[in-house]
Amino acid sequence: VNDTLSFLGQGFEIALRWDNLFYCFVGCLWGTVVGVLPGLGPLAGLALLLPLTFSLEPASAIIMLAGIFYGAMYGGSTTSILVRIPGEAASIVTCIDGYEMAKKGRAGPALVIAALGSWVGGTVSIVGLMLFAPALAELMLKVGPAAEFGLMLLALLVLSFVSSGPPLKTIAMVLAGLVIGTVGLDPITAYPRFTYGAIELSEGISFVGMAIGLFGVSEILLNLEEITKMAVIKPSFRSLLPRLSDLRQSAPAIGRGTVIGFVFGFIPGISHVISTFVSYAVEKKISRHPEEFGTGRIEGVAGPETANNATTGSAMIPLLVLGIPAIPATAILLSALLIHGIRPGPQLISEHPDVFWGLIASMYIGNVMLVILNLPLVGIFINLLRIPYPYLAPGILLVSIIGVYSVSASPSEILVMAIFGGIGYVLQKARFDAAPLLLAVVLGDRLEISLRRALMISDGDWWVLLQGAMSQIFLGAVALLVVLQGAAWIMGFRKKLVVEPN
Amino acid sequence: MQVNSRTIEMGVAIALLLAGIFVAEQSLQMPLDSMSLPGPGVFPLAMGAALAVTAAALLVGYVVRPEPGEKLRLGHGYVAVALLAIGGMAELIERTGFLISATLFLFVILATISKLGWWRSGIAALAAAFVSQLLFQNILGVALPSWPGI
Repeated sequence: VNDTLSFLGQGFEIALRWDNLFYCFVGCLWGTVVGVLPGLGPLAGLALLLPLTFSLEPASAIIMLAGIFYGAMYGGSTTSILVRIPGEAASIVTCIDGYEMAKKGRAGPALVIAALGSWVGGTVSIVGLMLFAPALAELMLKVGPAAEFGLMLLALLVLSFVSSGPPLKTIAMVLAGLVIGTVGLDPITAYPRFTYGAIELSEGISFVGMAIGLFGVSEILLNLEEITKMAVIKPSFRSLLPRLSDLRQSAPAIGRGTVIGFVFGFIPGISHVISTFVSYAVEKKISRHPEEFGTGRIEGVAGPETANNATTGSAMIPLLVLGIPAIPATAILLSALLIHGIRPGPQLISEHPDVFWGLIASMYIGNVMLVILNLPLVGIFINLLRIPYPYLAPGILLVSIIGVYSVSASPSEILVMAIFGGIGYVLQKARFDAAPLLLAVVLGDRLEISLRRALMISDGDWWVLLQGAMSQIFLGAVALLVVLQGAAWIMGFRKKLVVEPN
Repeated sequence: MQVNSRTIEMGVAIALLLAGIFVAEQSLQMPLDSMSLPGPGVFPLAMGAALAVTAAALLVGYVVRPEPGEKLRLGHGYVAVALLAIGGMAELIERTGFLISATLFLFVILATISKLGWWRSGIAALAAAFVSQLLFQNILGVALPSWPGI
């Protein structure tokens, strides 16, 4: 504990430097803006500012980008409550009771409880990150290529089975991501794969272009189909204060949301979105008045909003300690770390303590900044929604173009963004979730490298994958997951056979 | 264009099936080496084949369990204009520089989807492109292509 506090103290020395406070503020502000604006989520927000961090110190860059990530989670609730349009996917559930509260003239308490819950969830999850990450890093230092292969396989399987859509569709998306990840030079022999002589493809398909296309451009294209004028409910500053009964009702929901969000943050996929649905379902299930959910219950705002912010801290653990981005937005953070010459993994904490502890300290500071930004300034953010979409959309697209172009000063990045924007649009229409595809692109490379390295070390002996306690644990978990999923599928299929003829 | 959601889902499944077959076939032309020490073609071959099998399973599911689906709009004119404008900007940005390509990009989209009309769209596009260049290049230090050839 003393060591942790001492390192945290050093982290605060870094985070409290004037320049880092400024970058933290810019990240939180931009995060709130992208969270408020429909069609711009944390992923697009991160990708847009990524090029601007190239000239910064690594710690400053990560502090700013992380601010965007958790700032967007705060901002998303504002539009859900006041306009019934989720600023980003993790705020969909907040629309249900949040907007109903706003219609009854209780937008202020809904916003305050959402902000307080977000602050509690975010802060507790940072404590978890601070305590769990170093211990996990120590454990993972013993992991060799064989165990790493097991871990990657496990991450991809969890990604396939825990998602919002049917498993077969998700598996197809994961496999498509793994296939896309093979484009470029072979990581072991440098043999060109699917490049067809194009130098631009030798380093693979641009990740940033792909991410902005799939999540930013596709969302704008969908919004362009149905341009509607938003009816915004504007709360007065005086009406912000919640009643004592609001606080009493919300406190347990905030506690449960924190635990749910923190646990779900570890799971690869769209855990930040799923955690909000789980939290809402739990609150409704244990409520004495489940029939009132959907009519403006404050627990329906407090639980999910807390849960989505609690995932931000725990989602950082697999990213920083294992190099596994649990959710799409953290994949951009992974890119940022790699661009700055920092390879996330068990050595990160010992090799770059300034980055790790500076980031943790800045997250404490950023969460306080966000409460201050999101409550008194809510009126300013709401005015952003008054800009008609036909003027907003071209602006967002132009900033996206500038963002992807500046990654490598190549027009091919813009083309990749356009192509994946179109693909993302069609995938959304066909109800295929693009998040597993994007995460599989990142994880596929490591899956292949770890497998081939393990085989090279063992001189081609496949049994090496089952040697060592860590490998056995990971592959045992893989086998268990496959059996459970198989059993669930067979039982579901049998049930269908029995029920459908009747 | 109004399309049934099941038709779009089947279309995506067919595209994935074809992509899987193509990747597997192309991988066979890469060095595969041996099962004990796999070469560069093995991983894409395995993933391509698995993708094709999964996509085929999806298609079988659609055929075995036909559901009515719902009518969806696919391919609105604004969507096509936005995608073409982005593609056009990719083509022009290094030939004409940022200012001209961004002005054209914004003009095409504004003239199509806003109610500004041609003249005002042109003026707004030029002003926005100029402000963007000033902000990103001069203030934030992002390297953008200047006038043609520079």
